[in-house]
Amino acid sequence: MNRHLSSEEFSEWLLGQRTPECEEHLRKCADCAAELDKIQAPLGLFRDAVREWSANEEGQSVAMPVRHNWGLVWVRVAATAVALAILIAIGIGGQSRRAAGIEREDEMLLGQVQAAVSRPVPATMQPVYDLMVEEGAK
Amino acid sequence: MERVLPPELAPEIAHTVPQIRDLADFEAVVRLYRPAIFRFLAASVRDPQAAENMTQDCLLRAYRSRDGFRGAASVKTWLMQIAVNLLRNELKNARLRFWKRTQRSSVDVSSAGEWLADRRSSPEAAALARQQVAAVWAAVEGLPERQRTVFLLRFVEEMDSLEIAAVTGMKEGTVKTHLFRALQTVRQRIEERT
Repeated sequence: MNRHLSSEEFSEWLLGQRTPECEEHLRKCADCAAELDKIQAPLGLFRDAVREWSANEEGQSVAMPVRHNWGLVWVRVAATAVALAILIAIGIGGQSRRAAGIEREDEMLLGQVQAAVSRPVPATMQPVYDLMVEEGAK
Repeated sequence: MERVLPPELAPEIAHTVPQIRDLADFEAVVRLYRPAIFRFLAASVRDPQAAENMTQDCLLRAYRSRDGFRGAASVKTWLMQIAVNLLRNELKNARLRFWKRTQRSSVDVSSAGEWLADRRSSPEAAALARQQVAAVWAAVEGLPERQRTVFLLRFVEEMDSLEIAAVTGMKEGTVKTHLFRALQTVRQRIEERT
């Protein structure tokens, strides 16, 4: 091969499609070898850079160090304890309020039941009964 | 650290890299292939946290469907296939939300090049290396989804076109076409910016 390599032949070479003619030409032609290096070198640098960059990034994201700030830990513990105390107090207060409410409801219900039981007539007949009582009193 | 191979040697040496043939020891599978899955996803979405979540998802799916693995492809090809499908579904299902989130939290285009700086012989060489990496990184970012996927599988994961075809479900000819177009774009961007 007497002519220089074409752009397509350089690309084919880089993609692994190599002919013995091209190989021989690259050995003999310093211009073509330099031209090939102008493309091959950046590609090699890119590969190395991506490999080193990703190795570093992977190490960082996989083995993320857990750092303990003990001052912060104590603040968190104290804050949690205070929050728990408040919740418990609210819970107890709520429970006692609920208990008082239930007691009042029970008393009202009991009063209604006693009133119903002590009635001499059914509730529907109460107006007639009241009238009779009034008439009797006269 | 994983050995870095020059692209021209990748297909030959790939056969000498230790590979796991079955899934009996799933922990070993995770140890060996997790970095490649994360790397591919991180370079695709440029969001390490999103890539981390997707990597976990990928490995979980692989674990759940491990009984269905028949060994027709290599374990790595099978895992990368799951990763590519996850990526594709993520893009398809929530394209706008995903890219908005990714662009908001993504890495700076030039930051990947910083990793190379300490190995260069001079400040000028380091600056040139960063510039070249930034040019490729920016070009890859602008590629259509399929071209970006095949480009990363070829030039970062060093897979050959047959493996990429198995991983992506494309025909080998389609893979070559996408690779060719992606490479043309990247070359053009390198020439413009360096």
